[in-house]
Amino acid sequence: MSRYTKITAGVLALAITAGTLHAQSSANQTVTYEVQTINQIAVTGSPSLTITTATAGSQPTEVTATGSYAITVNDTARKITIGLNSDMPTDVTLTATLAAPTGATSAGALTLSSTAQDAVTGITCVIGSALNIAYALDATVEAGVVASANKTVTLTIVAGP
Amino acid sequence: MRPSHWCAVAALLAASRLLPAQSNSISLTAPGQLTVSTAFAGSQPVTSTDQTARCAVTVVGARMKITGYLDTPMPAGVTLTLSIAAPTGAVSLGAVTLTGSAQDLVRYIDAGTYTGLTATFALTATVSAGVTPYTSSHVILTLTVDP
Repeated sequence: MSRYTKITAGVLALAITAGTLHAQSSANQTVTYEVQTINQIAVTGSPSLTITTATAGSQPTEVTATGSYAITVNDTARKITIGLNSDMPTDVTLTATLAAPTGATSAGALTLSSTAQDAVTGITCVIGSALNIAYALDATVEAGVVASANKTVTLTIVAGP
Repeated sequence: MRPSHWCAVAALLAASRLLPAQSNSISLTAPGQLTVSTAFAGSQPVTSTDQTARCAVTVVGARMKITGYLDTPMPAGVTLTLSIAAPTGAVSLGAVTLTGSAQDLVRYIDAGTYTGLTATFALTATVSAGVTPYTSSHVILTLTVDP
C-alpha cells in the first residue's frame, strides 16, 4: 500500500468515526407523582333480625345475624365509628361487634344508637376484607310488638387513635 | 504527497464534520402527573396510568437499544413502571419497573427514524407506602449499541 493510500485510508477511518461518535444519546424527562390519603370502607350483607319466641318466665330470646365489611386505609391513626340513622324503639336493643383488621382493636359489642361510637380503633395502613360484623337484637316484654322496620347502620372511617 | 492528494484529504475531513448531523438521538415528552387517589375497599390502591408521553428515536448505523432509569428512587411501597412501544422490527420489554439502575426497555432497533412511540407510565402504591406528597423524579432514557 502506498503512503498516499495509507494516509487516505486513515483519514477515511477518522471521517467514519466522527460520524459515529454520538453512538450514545440520552433523554431526560421529569415525572411528577403523588399518593393521596385513601380511606375506603364497604359493607356487604343484609342482616335480618326477628324476635319470635321466649322461654316461659324469661325475656324474649335474643336473635343474631351477621354481615361483613372491607377496608382500605393508607393513612395512620384512623378509627371506624358506627351509628344508626335513628334510635331503636324503647326496650328494643340492637348491638353490633366489628372484627378488627390487622393491628387494630375492636371495641366489642356496642349498643347502637343515632350517636356514632368508636367500633374499631388504632387503624394504620391496612387492608382487610370479609371482616365480620355480628348483630344481636334483644327486646323486653315491655317493648310490646314491634312492626317490621329497617334501620341503616353507618360505618365511617375518621381520624383518631 | 501531491497537492491533489491533500485536497482529497481535506475534503474527507470536511465531510466528517457533516456526519454528526445524522447521529443517534432520542427524545421523550413529559407525561401527565401520576396520582394514586382511590381504592376499592379491601384491595390495594388503584394504579394511576398515563399514556400521553411520546418517544422519538433516530438510529444511524449499528443496531441500538433503549435503556432507562430513575435519578431519584421511589419511596418504599411505591413503584413506577414504563413501557415504550417498539419501533417496527424492534422488541419492547413491556412494563419495566424503573430503579436507579439502567434497564432495557426496547431492543433490536435498526437504523431509521421512529416517532410517536407511546410511553406508558404506571404508578402503583401499597397501603404500606402511606401518603406521598407531590414529588418529582427524572426518567433518563439512553440509546446504546445493542450487542
